[in-house]
Amino acid sequence: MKQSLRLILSVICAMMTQCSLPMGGSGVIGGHPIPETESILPLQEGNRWIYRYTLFDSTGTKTDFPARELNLKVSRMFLLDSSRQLTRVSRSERYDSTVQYVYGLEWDSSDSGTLVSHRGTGPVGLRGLYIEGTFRGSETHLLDTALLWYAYPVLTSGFWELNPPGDDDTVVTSMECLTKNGTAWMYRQDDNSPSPLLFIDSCYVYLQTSGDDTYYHTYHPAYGEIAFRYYTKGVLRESYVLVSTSLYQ
Amino acid sequence: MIRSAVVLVLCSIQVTWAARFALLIGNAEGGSEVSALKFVDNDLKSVRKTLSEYCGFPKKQIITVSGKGPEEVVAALDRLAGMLPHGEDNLLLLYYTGHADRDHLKMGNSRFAITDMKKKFSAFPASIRIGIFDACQSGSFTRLKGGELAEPFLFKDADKIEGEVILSSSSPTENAQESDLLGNSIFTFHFVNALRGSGDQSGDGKVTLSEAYQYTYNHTVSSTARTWGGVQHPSYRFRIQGEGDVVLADLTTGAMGVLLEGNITGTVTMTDSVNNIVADLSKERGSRMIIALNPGTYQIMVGNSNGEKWRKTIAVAPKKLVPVDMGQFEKFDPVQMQHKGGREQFRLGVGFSGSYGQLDLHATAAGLRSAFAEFGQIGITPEFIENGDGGFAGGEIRLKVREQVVASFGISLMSLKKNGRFTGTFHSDGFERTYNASLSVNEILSLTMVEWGIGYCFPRWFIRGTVLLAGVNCYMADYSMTSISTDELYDAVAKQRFREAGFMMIPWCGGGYTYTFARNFEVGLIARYRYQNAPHPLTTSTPGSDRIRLDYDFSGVDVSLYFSAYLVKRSNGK
Repeated sequence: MKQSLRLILSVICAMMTQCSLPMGGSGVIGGHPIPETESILPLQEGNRWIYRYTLFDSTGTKTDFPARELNLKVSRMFLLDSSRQLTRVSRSERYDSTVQYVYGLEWDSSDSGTLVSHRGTGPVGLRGLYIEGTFRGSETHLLDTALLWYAYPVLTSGFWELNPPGDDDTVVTSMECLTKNGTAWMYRQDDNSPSPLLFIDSCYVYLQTSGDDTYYHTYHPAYGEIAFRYYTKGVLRESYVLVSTSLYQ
Repeated sequence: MIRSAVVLVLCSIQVTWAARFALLIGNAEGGSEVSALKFVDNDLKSVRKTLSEYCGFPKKQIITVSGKGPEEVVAALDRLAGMLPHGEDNLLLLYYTGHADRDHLKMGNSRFAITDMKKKFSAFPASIRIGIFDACQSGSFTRLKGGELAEPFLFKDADKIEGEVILSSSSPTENAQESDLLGNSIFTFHFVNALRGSGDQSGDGKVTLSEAYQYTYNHTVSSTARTWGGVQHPSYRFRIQGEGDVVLADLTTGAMGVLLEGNITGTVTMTDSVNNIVADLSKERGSRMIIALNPGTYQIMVGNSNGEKWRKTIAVAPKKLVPVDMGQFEKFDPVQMQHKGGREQFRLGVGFSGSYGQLDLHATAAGLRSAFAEFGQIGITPEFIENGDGGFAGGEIRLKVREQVVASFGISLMSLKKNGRFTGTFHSDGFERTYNASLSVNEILSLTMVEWGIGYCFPRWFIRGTVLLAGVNCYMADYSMTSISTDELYDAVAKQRFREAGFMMIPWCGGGYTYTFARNFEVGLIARYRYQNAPHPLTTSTPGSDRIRLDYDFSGVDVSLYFSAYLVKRSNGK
């Protein structure tokens, strides 16, 4: 995931240096936002996810490194105006459905991360979770135009690029929604059932390809990202699975 | 009137006899038309023991014929006759216990005509012949000793008998009875007690034939006054030449037992360590009485006409005579005493029980399989406890009213456990690599069964002790499961603890057999069928709307074995 984020951030950084480039068909979405509850990732300040992270060696065998936890949270929330200016708001101030909100996703309390938003209007296939920029501490950097990260909802399998168009020096990163009826499992967080795992249907499975690297992201709008796998040349190198959530939405 | 006159005559002179011979005859069977007697052997043993120990009958001169027919009886009489010494006064005591009617002694399937018996008896070459016949038609508390009513069989043509004394256990229209409580026929029991000292009215340490008869008569009448068989009046017939009485028992030399001193007055009852009455007499002030007893512990109770009672426990050692006087007795409240022989009002007992039965947990397992059905996606199909056959163990309280109505309350525990580990494999999306997964399941089902039951216990006949019961069981179930899943893909180790507790009440019915022993203990074997129309969840105080509820089915069959120790409350009176 970190590699994935690094990739995204590198893309975003590259975009920031080429902010005048037209976005073409890669996901500039205008119009009004939709309630965050319709997002593939529940967006609300304070939402937290805990994952169990496992590292594999070059043969795909689990390493001796002990499994550890990854923590993801929505650490901040902004209001994005029509001139793409961000204003920090608190959770108690929202929700105004006519306003576009931007959320800061932060891994392991690093005080830095990615600014994302859900844009819910426009053609199906171009709605979804967008990358708006980055933040570090109190500083924010917005892209000129947002990049579609995870299209949601989709009618059929969709395909889009996460690269700024025209950037020939950058490895092409493509995104694809493999299925919206996938199944995943996560740790059960309640004692309503004797089963230790919660199996979740109707999951969106996104395939992210970047050269020899492939990433599988499994999402469900009720939980966000449930599972992740990273392969290099077909060999499993990293995985994580959702252990618990604390969601306000 | 006549009886008093006879006793007066008999008491005028006491006659002792140098050579005594006895023929003891018993037969529990009387043919297909009558039921077998229960205590014939006890009668024979107690008479033989008393005759040899206290009545001057050498053991080698006592012949016992048990379970045989008339031929063996005649042969035994002939054998005894051959043993008689010449030139001495000899005494023959012929004792019979068994079935009879007005014409025959019933000896198994054989019949011994009374006229034939009288001829053999009268022809016996002894100076005096004593015949004691404990036979007729009725049974004790309980058991009939013969068939139809008949006149006393030995009094026909009694005038022809000379030098004979004949005692029989009943009068013309009565039945003789056995007693479960006494463990003997009632007549024999009192006759033996009389010989062992209870009949010694004169207090001289010797029991004469007339004293024995008087005692036996009085106590047989009183013992049978409230029995189902009806009151039983012993009868007598005598014809001896000259005046005198026969000393049957001499307790003055070498007797072991108890010596009741002269200051003891009133009714005296002695019971042994298992509460059997061994002596029951009325004693006047001033006389001393010897009661022969076997070594052991006895309780002596003395009562007066005002209802006051005293008691004392004594230990009789071999060859020792224990003197007791009134000063050694302790007064007690007779109301609190459990009277032997009084009707049992109720008994309350505690005990323990164990049961083994079927417990069908298929419905519960089906619910669990449903909860784990999605594990099939990663190749795992777990199994759970389905067959709950097992044992409960616990304690219980039982109340039995008037020996018939039974109420029980019990608590039993049972625990079922199952541990399993199940493995599977799966493929990750888009790649052919196979990953392993596993699921460990540890189940514990703890059941506490609270049982209420009420029923009826048949008090008599051949189904005595059979009990029919119905009731309600409350099953308090505590089910807990710890499950741990692992998989190689995410290296996930997910652990879940699931628990649900609640109760369920279901009716049951059953029946079985109970057996009471040593008066205060009971064992029982009960088979029960528990009915539940369909599996359903436990009644629980913490249901959750999304929570999985398992179904339980407690219907089935079990067999329970219990043991109870009782406190018994009887009504007053013997």
